[in-house]
Amino acid sequence: MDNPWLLLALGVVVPMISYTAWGWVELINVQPAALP
Amino acid sequence: MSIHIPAADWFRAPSGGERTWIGLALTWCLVLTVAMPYWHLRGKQNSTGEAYSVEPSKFAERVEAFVLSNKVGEENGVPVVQPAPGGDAYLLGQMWRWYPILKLKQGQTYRLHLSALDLQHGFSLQPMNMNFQVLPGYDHVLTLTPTTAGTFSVICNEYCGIGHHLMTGRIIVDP
Amino acid sequence: MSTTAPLASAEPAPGFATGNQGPGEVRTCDTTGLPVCLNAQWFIRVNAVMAVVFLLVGGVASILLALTRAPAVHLLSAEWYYRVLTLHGLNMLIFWILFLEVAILYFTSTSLLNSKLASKGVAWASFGQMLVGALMVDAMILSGNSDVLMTSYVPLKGPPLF
Repeated sequence: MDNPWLLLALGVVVPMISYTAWGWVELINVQPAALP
Repeated sequence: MSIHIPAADWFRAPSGGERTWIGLALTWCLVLTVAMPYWHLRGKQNSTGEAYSVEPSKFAERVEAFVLSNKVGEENGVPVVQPAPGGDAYLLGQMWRWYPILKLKQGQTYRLHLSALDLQHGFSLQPMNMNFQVLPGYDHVLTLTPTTAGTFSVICNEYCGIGHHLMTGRIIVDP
Repeated sequence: MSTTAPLASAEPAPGFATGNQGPGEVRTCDTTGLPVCLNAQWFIRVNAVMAVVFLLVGGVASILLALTRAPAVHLLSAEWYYRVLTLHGLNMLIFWILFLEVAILYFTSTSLLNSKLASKGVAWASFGQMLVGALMVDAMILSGNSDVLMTSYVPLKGPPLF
């Protein structure tokens, strides 16, 4: 955890993966419009 | 791991004026941190984000059906449409117009469906300055209750091309 | 402010050097006494100069915009207004800020941390890339292909070169 290069890599990869996955989940949860 | 090791006595606890400022800033930060979710949940002009996916052509058809069944007048060639109280109202944004003009009743709750046919527009209700993004492919539903009577303007506040500044609409609220 | 010895003996972390090692000359600033790496100084100057050049472009654009929004003058047409607005936004918010930010980072990383510029090649490559990118964007805007302001979300698109 002291290695700055590791921290740099984690700081890029962890948010990239988590936010992308969050977006996928949100998009899957969009229902088609009922238009009553 | 720093480039240079700091001196052994580098930390001096804050005192006096510095301590007061830190305390005030911290308190204000905490107030704002609580204020943000509080206002999101209890503020009365926020969208819940209720949205559905829709084909622009299907939405356009639904808007036309809504206009046909509820039309009560016309202004400058734009139909004035009155939705049923408690019912669904439809408003579409397109380069470069808001269609149709809505006639609502003060104190009634409506479900307003917003969508765009071509690209992103910004629905901006003036003068209360309530702003929502209107996207093609998504039906954004707002549960709306007009609390004041009058005539309100709708302008577009997401740049949508050369006619963007001419893209205006109207919502009329009867007492 | 606590005082630190400029060249304290320390265990360097892997991949990091301490103090003023490596090639290149260092001069001492007359006013502050800070060390100034001469290689870094060159890049500080080049980036800062480009920054104010883009500030000038954005500033001229802002004068044109203000004269258009004054009803008595109405200088630009609607089409050119949005074009100059795109130019103004991008030059001010991106080019001016980032070129100056890079210049400041060269300064803080070398003079304040008592280090030298690690690689002139990388510095030239990054400067070249920034400059070419900025010029391409400005050219695309002025050629009239990219009247998209700052919010060019699909489906409102600029061309690929933009």
